[in-house]
Amino acid sequence: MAALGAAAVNVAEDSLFAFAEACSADALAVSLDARPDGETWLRAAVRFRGPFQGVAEVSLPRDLALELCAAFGGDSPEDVAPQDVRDFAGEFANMMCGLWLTRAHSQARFDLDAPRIDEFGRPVAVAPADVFGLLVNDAPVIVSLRPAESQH
Amino acid sequence: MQSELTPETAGAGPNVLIVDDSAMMRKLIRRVTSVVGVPIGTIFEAGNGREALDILEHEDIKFVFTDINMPVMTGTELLRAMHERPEWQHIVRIIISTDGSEARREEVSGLDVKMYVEKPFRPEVMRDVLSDLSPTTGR
Repeated sequence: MAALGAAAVNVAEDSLFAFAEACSADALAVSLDARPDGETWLRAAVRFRGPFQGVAEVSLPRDLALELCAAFGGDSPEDVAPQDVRDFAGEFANMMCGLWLTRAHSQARFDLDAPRIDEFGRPVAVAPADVFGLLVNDAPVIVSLRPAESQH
Repeated sequence: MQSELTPETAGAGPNVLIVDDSAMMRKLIRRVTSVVGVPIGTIFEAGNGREALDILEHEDIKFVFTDINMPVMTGTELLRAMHERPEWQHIVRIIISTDGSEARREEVSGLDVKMYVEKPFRPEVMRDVLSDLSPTTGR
């Protein structure tokens, strides 16, 4: 999980031109509590298949995704289309998963499915053991990994 | 996925084809390609290998930047199809993929790939790629 989270930090810094840092479970909880009620979040999930398989996910506030998407594409936030924000979230997850697999299993070949994007309400709590938390431009981002047997 | 992709016309220089199923990634590569200070002609986009082959049939392309994991036709399948066409031998093929594994690199060896760029990449990487390749591949 830590390696996947580290990949997310690198993607955010290198490709999204953002400030990113891993955070503790407590810091993640505080950051989640500070988000507005009713805030929309995006969850991008990438299924990977190879010597082992599973789903790598990244969840982030839609407003943060919009901010990062604008920076990624060189646009101002008001010029970014809603579909572009979803596409961006998927690319974030795709790069995170690909970087993690390349680093951790460079001898193996994995195939990545197209990202699946869901919208959901602000998470109120997360199980620290199941996620990797990071702050991107001071906003919470949650990374998780589901092994194949828990896919649905 | 975007089904109709409009080319962006720029100045005189080699034409570029960007192949990626992510519209955002195509946009990023297009933006970086057009601002790195290397003369570029028209930038075409394709969402998968099949769309890329259609463009290659009709346009004079000098650089192909392609992803690997794509629906319909993957980047590897595209490169294999290009490899079988001697008239496309002059086209410079650059992979831009999240998958930088040795297994994947081995899979595309022998398919005339000039460079392999791993995502995420910094914009200056694209500048260096185009700068390195342009002196020997310009029109």
